[in-house]
Amino acid sequence: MSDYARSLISLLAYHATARPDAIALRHKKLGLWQHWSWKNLLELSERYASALYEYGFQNKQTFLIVSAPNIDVVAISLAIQALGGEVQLIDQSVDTLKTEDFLRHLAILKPDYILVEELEQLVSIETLRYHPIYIFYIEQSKLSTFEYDYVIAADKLLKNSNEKYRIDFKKTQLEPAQIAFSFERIESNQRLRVQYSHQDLIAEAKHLVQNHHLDHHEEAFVTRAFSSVGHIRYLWPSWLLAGFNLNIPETLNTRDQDRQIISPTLILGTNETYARVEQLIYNRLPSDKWLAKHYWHALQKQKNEEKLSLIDKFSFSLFKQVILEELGFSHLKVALTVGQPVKLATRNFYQSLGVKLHEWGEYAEWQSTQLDNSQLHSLPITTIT
Amino acid sequence: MSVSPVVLLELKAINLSFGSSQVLNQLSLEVREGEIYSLIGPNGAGKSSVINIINGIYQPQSGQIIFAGQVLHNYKAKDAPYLGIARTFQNLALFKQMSVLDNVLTGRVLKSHHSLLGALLSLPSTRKDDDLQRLKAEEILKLLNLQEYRDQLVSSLSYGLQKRVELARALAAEPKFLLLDEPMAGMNHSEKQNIAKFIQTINQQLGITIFMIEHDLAVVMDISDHIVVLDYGKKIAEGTPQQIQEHPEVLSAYLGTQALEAH
Repeated sequence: MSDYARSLISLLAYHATARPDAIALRHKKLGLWQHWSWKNLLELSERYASALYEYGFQNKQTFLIVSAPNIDVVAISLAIQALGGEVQLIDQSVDTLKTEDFLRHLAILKPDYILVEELEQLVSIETLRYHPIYIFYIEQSKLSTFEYDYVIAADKLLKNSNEKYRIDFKKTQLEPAQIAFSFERIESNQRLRVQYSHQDLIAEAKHLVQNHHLDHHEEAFVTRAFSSVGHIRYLWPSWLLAGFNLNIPETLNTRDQDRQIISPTLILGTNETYARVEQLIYNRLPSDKWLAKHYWHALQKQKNEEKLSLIDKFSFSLFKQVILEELGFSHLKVALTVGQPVKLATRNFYQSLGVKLHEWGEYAEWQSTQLDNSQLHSLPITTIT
Repeated sequence: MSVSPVVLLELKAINLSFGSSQVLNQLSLEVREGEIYSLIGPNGAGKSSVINIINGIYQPQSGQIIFAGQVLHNYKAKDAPYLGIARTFQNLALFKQMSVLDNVLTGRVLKSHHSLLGALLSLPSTRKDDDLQRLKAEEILKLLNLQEYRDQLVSSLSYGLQKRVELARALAAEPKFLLLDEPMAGMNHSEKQNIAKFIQTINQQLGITIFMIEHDLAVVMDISDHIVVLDYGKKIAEGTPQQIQEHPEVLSAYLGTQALEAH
C-alpha cells in the first residue's frame, strides 16, 4: 500500500500537497455555490482536530454526527479520524429522524461526543440518563438557551482554540485497521451496526477507481453522505483516493436543481433514487403534444423490450439531450447503484438515454446485538412508556 | 421563545365606527413581547378592523395605540414598516409573475441603501448592498424551507406555498411585530399544520411577536400563548388557551360546548 494511501487522513494530506489549489469540495449554501481547495480543507480539518484535542477528544473515542453534509461536518469528521476516533452515523436521513428516535439512539449508543446540525435537535436532551463529554451544534436558534456547559457552538470550537496543540495531518500515523466510520440503527430491541476501517474503505475505493477509470477530473454528486452507507463506503474514500470534486447540494429538496447545475460525471444511488429521477421526467413530459406522446410510447416499447421502429429511435434522439440536461446527466460517465438492483423497466429507461447503470458493491453486513435490560432502562423516560 | 413581561403593543379604549355601525367598542388589549397572540371571534366581530388599526389602515375615532412605549399620533399605514410592523393579508398580495426570490427581495426595499446613481454606475457599494439583500432573503428562504422554489414563478405554486411566500416577504422587512390575517384560510389540513409550524419557528427562532386572526380554533389553541375573544366589537374573554376553553361565557356565547369537546 502506498504510504499516502494508509488512511483517509494521509490521502487528504497527500492531495493538499500534490494539488493544493484544486477544488476538493463544493457546497451550495444560501443559494451560492462555495468551494474549498484541498489545502483549505486540510487547514480547516487540522484546526478542528487541534480544537477537538483541546476539548479532550482522544484515540478510540466515538463521535456521533447527526447532520446533513456541509464543509464543517466534512472537516470535523476528518479531524475526528485524524485523532484516531470513530465517526458514528445513524442510518437515517436527518430530515426524517424524529426527536424520540434520535434520543433513543443516543441512549443506546452513548457516544463520547456528538455533533448536531441545529440546537433544536437537542430539545428534550435532559430526559436522557447520560450525557456525552461534549455536544457541538452548527446552527443556533433562539429556541432554547442551553445552560449546559457541555453544549457548545461549533464555531466557538475554533474561536476558543489557541491551537497550542497543532495537529499536523502530514505527520499523523494511523493504524489502517482503525475504524473510520460506523453506521448504527436501532430496531425494536436490537442494535444493528456496520463498521468500516480506513483500510477497508481504501481497498473498496481502489477497486472502484480502477474499474471505472476514475481520476481527479470527476465531479461527484453526494446528497446523503452522512446518512447513507453506500455514499460513505464507496464515494467518500474514492473522493479522497482519486482526488476529484465532491459536490454537495443545498438541501435534499434542492438536489435535482443542484445536480442540473453541477452536471456530475459520477453518481451513486439506490434503486429508489433512480426510479424517483425517472419519474421526474414522466411528470414533466407534456401530455398534450404529439411528439412527446410518441416519445412516451417509444419509451414504453423500450421498457417492455419491444422492437423499436426508426421513428421511435428518431424520437429518442430528439429528446435524449434535453432529458439528460434536465436530469443533470449530460456529462455523466459512471452511474452506480447500490443495494437492491433497479427494475428492468427503469434500467431500460436509462439505457434509452445512453446511461448504463452499474451495480456496485455488496450489501452492508449489519452486525446485530440484542439490547439487554440495562440498556433498555437507560432509554429516555418518554420512550419507555 | 419565552414571553417577556414587556408590553410591545397596547390598544387603549379604541372606538371605531363606520357611519352608524359601531365596529369596536372601548377595546383595550396588551400584547407582550415574544408572544403569539390570537384574536378570535365570529364573522363581523371586528377582528380584521383591529389588525387594520394596528397596521395604520384605519384610524380609530378615539383611543390610543402605544407601540414599543411610543404613543402613535396620526398613525398611517406607511409608518408601520418603519416601526417594525409587517403583515400578511387574508387574500394573497404577491407579485404572481415574479419568482419567489424576487418577491422576498421586494420586502427588503426599506433595508436597501440604493441610490439611482449607484445603481446606474453599478458602484461597488451598490453591489455590496445587493449581496447583503440577497443574503438576507436567502436566510428567510432557508428558514421557511422555500429554497427549492427560489426560482419558480409564484403563480406556479400551490396556495399553501404562496401563503408561505407571503410570510417570507413580510419577514424580509425584519419586523419585530407581525400581523397575520387568517394565515390558514383556504388551506387543507396538512398545509395548516405546516404553516402553524412555521409561525412557531418565526416566533421562536427570530423572536418576532405574532398577532394573529384565525378561524381554525384547533390551531389557535395549539400555538397561541394568549387569546382574546371578540364579539360585536367587544372583548368577551381573554387568557391562555386553557382558560379560554374553560371560560363559561365563551363556551355558551361563541364557541359552543361541542366545538371545544371536539378539540
